Amino acid sequence: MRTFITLLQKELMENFRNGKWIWLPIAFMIIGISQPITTYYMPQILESAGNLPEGTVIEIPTPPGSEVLAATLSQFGTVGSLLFVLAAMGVIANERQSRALTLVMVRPVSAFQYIASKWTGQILIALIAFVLSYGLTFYYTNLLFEPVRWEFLFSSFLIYSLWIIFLISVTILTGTLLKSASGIAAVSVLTVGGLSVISNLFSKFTAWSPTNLRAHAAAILMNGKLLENSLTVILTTSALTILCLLLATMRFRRFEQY
Amino acid sequence: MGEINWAIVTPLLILQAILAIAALVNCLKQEETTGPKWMWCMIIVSISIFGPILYFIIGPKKE
Repeated sequence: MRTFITLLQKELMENFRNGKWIWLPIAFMIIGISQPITTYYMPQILESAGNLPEGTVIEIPTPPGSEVLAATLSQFGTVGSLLFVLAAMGVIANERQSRALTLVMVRPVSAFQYIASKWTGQILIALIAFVLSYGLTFYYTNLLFEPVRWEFLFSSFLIYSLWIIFLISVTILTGTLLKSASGIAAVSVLTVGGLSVISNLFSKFTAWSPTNLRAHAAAILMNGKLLENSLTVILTTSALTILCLLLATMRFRRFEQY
Repeated sequence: MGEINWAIVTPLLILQAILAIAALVNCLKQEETTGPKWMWCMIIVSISIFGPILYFIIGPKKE
């Protein structure tokens, strides 16, 4: 346990040095609050951008706050997921390239402690970025649209965090399989993207797919309750996350022969 | 666009400014970057949001 904490501290310090603690939260906050702001100013934006004929009247109904927040979540699902993968792609590959990994592993550090410290470090940053951004977006939505109930906000936050944790676990697992950072990002994005396409195409057979978590989080925001099969999705996602971690540890142990 | 409520938009601009300044400072303090340093400074300053993020992801050279 002491080794794990030391490794985690080193990981967090490292991320302070390379600026991840700054850019990930700020990028997320920008993506988050852009959504309510652009929705709020949509009539003006259309008016100034389009070459609309004189006298065109555009009536856009003001969406309820929950819809705006759900749209923000869908932004996080695309751009946000990409950012998380890009942030986590280099955690193992960079240390391997710079030979820092050798220096760490000659000490009595087990493979699991190493992987777990990397995983926890990435998840801490990602979740803090998500909390800050989601909170700020919530504030804006309440300001500009009708307020959203905070219980719905909180439960959608929990469901969505599970998705983020899954995403990072997949990236860490790929990080133990491949050597180049760009390859790791590409494979992770393709894996998760492929899973998402498959579960959209064959939705009947893939009710368990972790990619459905995003739909579940949006459903909580809009209706205040989960879709059906929510328990299956939550359980499979947790199981897959743990599986990813275990596989990553096993793979890492075989990969690093010291 | 007649009236913009600056109280709403300013935080967005401040966040962008912080991101750009953090990227610039990190870039200038870096011993070596992938590609010339002045190029990264141009990218950070001229492309909003995505310039700084791009720099943080691929800019610093891993030795």
